[in-house]
Amino acid sequence: MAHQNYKPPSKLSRHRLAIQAGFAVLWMIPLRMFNVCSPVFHCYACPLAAFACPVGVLAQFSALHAFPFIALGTLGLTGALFGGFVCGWACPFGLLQDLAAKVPTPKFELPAWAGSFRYVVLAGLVVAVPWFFGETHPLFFCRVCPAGALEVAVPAAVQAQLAGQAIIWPNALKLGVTLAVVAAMFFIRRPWCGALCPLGAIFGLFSRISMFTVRFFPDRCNECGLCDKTCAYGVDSAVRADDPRCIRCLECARCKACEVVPAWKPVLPDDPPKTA
Amino acid sequence: MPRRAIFATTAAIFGLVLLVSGYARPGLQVVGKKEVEVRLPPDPGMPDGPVPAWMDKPPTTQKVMEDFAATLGEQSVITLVTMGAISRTAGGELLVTETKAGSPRCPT
Repeated sequence: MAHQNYKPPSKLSRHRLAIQAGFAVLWMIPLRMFNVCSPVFHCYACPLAAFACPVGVLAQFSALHAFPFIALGTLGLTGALFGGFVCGWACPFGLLQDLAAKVPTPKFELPAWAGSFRYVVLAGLVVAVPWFFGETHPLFFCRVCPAGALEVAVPAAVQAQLAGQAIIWPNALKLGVTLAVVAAMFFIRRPWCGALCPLGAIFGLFSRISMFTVRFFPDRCNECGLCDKTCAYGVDSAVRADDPRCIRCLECARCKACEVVPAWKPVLPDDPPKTA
Repeated sequence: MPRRAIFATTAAIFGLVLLVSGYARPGLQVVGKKEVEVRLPPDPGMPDGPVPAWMDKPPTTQKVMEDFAATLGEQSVITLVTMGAISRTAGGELLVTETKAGSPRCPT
């Protein structure tokens, strides 16, 4: 039966892009409050960075062999409350990928196992390489980070060009990673988030326990497939609530079988679906 | 209370405790600094007080500089010279405060 479960998207869902843009503005107010960690992927060497990048702080603290209390505290608190919602609604790098995905090009899906690479990046480039080889190693995370290349190298190049100085290009590896990620953005939805983002990997760890989640109600399902069709990331609706790849974009919530449910609310099988 | 809410609340409290303790403790915070003190034997060629520029010192200090380089690495010595973070204690020891920023400021 075709999409009998359709319900109009909520006001919040309809304005996701605007909310993402609002958060991007917040992260880019040049407050220079680097003693505060933001919970999003945004290089703090960017001239417009307001807060410190948690991934950069984790990598740097690993190189210093120091425990990153504030970065982990920020990520723990945010992850426990919102989990993947941060990726879908507040991350500026996610916004960039969402905008690129709007270009009408053929889109390909990443296989589910690609999400495991995020943990390899987290454990290897953010923790192990800095810990054992220090921040000067070419594989130190910030030295290959595409957000750093886009948010720092580009403004720096423009600045140097305007000042009539020689442009300092990122190193070849970083440039290669950045070009590959940017090119992939047009053909894969959120390629960075789906396969490489160490911050997404951390928030993915909270997907099973975060306070707010998208729950699938099997008793409301008439197997019309609407929720699966609306999910741009290939996440199976039956496990969406706990899938570490889910960015909580709430597209699936157009189906009556999926709904945002706070953790404190007991879920009863005969709960009526909310409408917009 | 559902089990998920208990886990989420516990994780949030743990995160909050980490966050608060991070700001409460002295020293390295988010982009703070880590200081390492290194004490080297007295060197008669060194003047009292801060040492702003190693290269201009008499040959005896060259030896001290090499000791520093061996201890901290050449780059650290250059950084220390720039920062003037080397001083002499009352006992004649050379005191080096190595300062590392907790933030990669130039990822390019």
